[in-house]
Amino acid sequence: MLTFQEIIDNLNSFWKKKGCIQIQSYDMEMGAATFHPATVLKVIDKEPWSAIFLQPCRRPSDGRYGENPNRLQHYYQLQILIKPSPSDSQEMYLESLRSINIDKNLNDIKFVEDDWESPTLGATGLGWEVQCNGMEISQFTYFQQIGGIDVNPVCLEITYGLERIATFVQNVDSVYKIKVNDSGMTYGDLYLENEKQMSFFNFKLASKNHLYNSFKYHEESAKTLIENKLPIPAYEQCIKASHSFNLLDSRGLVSVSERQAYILRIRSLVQSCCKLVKKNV
Amino acid sequence: MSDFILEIYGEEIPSSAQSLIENQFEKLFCQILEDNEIKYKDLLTFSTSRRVGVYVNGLNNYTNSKQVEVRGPQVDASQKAIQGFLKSNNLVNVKKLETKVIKDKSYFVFKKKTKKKNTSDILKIETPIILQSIKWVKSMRWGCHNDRWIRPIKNILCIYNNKLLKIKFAGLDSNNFTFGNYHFEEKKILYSNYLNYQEKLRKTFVMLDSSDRQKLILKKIDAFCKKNNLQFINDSALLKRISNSVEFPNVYFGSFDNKFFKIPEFLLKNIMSDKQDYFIFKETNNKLSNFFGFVSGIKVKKDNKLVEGNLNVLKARFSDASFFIYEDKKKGLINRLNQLKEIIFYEQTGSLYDRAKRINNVLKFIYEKLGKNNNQFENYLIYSNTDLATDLVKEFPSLQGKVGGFLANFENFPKTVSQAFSDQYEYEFSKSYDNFLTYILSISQKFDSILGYFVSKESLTGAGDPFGIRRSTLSIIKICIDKKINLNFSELFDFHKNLYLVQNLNLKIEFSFLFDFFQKRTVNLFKEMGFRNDIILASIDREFNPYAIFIRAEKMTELYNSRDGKNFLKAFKRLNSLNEDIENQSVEVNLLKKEEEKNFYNLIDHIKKNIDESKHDFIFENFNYLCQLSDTINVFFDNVIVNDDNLKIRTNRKILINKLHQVLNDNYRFSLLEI
Repeated sequence: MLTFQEIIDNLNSFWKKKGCIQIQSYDMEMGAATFHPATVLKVIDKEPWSAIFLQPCRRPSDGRYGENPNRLQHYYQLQILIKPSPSDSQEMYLESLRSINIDKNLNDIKFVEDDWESPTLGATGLGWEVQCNGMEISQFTYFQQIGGIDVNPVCLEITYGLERIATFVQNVDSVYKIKVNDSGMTYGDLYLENEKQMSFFNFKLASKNHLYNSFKYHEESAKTLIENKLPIPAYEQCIKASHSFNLLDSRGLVSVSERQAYILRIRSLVQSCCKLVKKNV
Repeated sequence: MSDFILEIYGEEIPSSAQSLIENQFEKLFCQILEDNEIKYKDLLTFSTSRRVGVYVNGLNNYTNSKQVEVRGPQVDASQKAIQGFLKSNNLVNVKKLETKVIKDKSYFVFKKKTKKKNTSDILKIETPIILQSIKWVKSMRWGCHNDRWIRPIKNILCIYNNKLLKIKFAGLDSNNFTFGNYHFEEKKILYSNYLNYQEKLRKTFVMLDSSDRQKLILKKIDAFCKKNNLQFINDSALLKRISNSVEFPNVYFGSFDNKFFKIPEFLLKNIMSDKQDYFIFKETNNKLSNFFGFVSGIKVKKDNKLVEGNLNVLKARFSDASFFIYEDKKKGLINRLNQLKEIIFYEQTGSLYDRAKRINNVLKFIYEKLGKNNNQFENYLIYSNTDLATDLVKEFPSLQGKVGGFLANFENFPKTVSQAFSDQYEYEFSKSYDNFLTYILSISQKFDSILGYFVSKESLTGAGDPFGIRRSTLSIIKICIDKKINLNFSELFDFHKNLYLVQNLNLKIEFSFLFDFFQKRTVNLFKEMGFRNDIILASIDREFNPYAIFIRAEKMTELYNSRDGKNFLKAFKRLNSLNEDIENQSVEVNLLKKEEEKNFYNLIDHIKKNIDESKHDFIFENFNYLCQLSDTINVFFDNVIVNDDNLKIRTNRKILINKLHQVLNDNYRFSLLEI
């Protein structure tokens, strides 16, 4: 049986053999691996790009105080980017599943229509959510737009939901039962307490005033940096603003209309960053 | 005779796109064949999750040669223009041209015979054009080229008369082979003929016809139901979607633990059917069964792993739903009312709390207008949309209403109220459904949505209905008709507009704008019901009372189809043709000389009197009266000369005609009928 870390190792080594450069996690809180600058700022130019990286993700409102078997406010995504998208994208993906003991002939691998979009990033893509015996294990997307700019050539993005995959591979019914290594350390040993405490913070204790102020601060900083034509640090401020917004949301402080307004504010900043990057290349 | 096949094989095609491509293949290929006058026997289309195609047989190999007429410049055009025309038709001088007069002008025409063309040449040119001209709802690019399709294409099979027809699309050259179901066979399948193609695909578990796949699924489900004494809850849209998600359906069944029945049934159903695409069943006692079915593209001998995997997902989803239910029950509906103040309805239309107050007032207004009262429910109705602030609705937006009903029930609201909360968003109600509060709540909240939308957006363009405004309008009209609700929407509009004003919200539209919007929907709906267009238009009054419009349209149809009615309409036509617009003049009774004139005058009086007493439909109710009406009009026109030499008499008669026309047409709009 593959451990959690072996699953990561196998996928890393599979895609490195396919020519992907391994880069590292970004040191900021983000809702999805797509926010990594290696995605947003690298897919908009015309240059070929193949990369793999592991990214810790935080979605504050998905916390369940450690009580739900597969819903977490902090989890890991393994992300693959290949530009231009290769003609054998799906075959390669299915082959990568074999490297972690998921055989398409023994398991029901379904590509279920899922036209992905990230309103915050002004990004859209067409593709599927990939299900294995009914469970979503990956997101498979052909990027069409990012920051409101057409992605050309088209970039393939594959995102593996590692915890879900591990529960499947190890045949356990809760992410907390996942074996991380051979010595018996479980995912629960590492993260259950974190989930409990962080859920309290996300839902009940994150400071309302601080969050409003930090959102404003990061937004202002991003604007200044954009004016100074520094898209990389400006984009970092967008990531931070987005996390402040996610926390405001989990605290239940964002109404439906405000929600849309916040998203549009971040989106317009990301768009400016992307335009600057595109101009520079 | 030859045949032609085009099969586009690629990555998983969404179900809705399969029907879209099939429809357009059929339309566009038929068009090409017809435009080129190529005869064929059958044209059929097919699709699975990985391929879409078209097959045509009995094709003529050549187009027929025919004479065509090419119009040139006018005969008196400049030499340059004439020479240009000659050159473009490979002619030396005008001797071979003829002249033809078209709309009083004389033109040169050249009559020539077209050359025979090979059907294969036409298909070779037109097929890539067709592939490029599909009108997508959504489409994508991939790799480095700019052609668009629904998902990446991996292979194009294009064969004419069992031989490869070379075409190019999306960076790919066509081939004379295809692939089987990739779960079973990864080798190429060489095309020899259509029968062989179907057979070979069938052997690798590809069923090309969607309806065959559906039949197979239903057969398996039927056997399962018989064995377990269950009844299948058939959802045709789900069945179609599922059968399109595979090339060959393998059906598996599982069951969940009974402990999850503590979750309300509507939520269990939603999770299984809508979120997980599972088939669901009822027990003999009509309760939801814990069995579920699902379809997979793979065939396995032992299904434990597949079933267990799906069950685990279901358990996690149920567990999440339980979390939300627990949280929502803890807080309840009543305590959430203030949360509505923080949620904006539409931009510039206030909060959901403002909306709740408006709906409450409108409800009261409608009850009063209909001579009823809602006092016993009044205290509860402010919570009708409070469920929009719950976690369950945030997670399952399609369950708005149902969640409200569930929580209202939990908080011991009267049954009538919780049922109305639950069902208020339904499009229509069955004959057996009976809850007056639901109808009025449904109309009130939908009408508020429509007005709110127009306050915020001012217009609704495009064919889609992203905010459900068109659907809400149709729903209101349907409910009023089905449940015989006599409601005047111009009055309701005035009342509602005032509610917005009280909340300092500016409702900029006028009733005439809304009337046009409602009228369009009414015309479409009534046409579907089988009413004639002219009858519908004649039945719609400015007050806009859908039920009254319906009754009028029914009566008008009856009149239109009856012998007496037809006679009357003929008489009205005579009246209509001689009517002149004469403003503000009265008939002078002392100038009425002939008996026929006097009868005519009395008729106007009688009709007016009935209308003044609100007996608008009296002329439809008594066909004897209708005959009398026709006779009086006809006798008048047969025996009275309108254009009398005496100016005063002449004018008086014209006024007389105008008055009768006015009273009939203002109230019944007979002039709109095609007689």
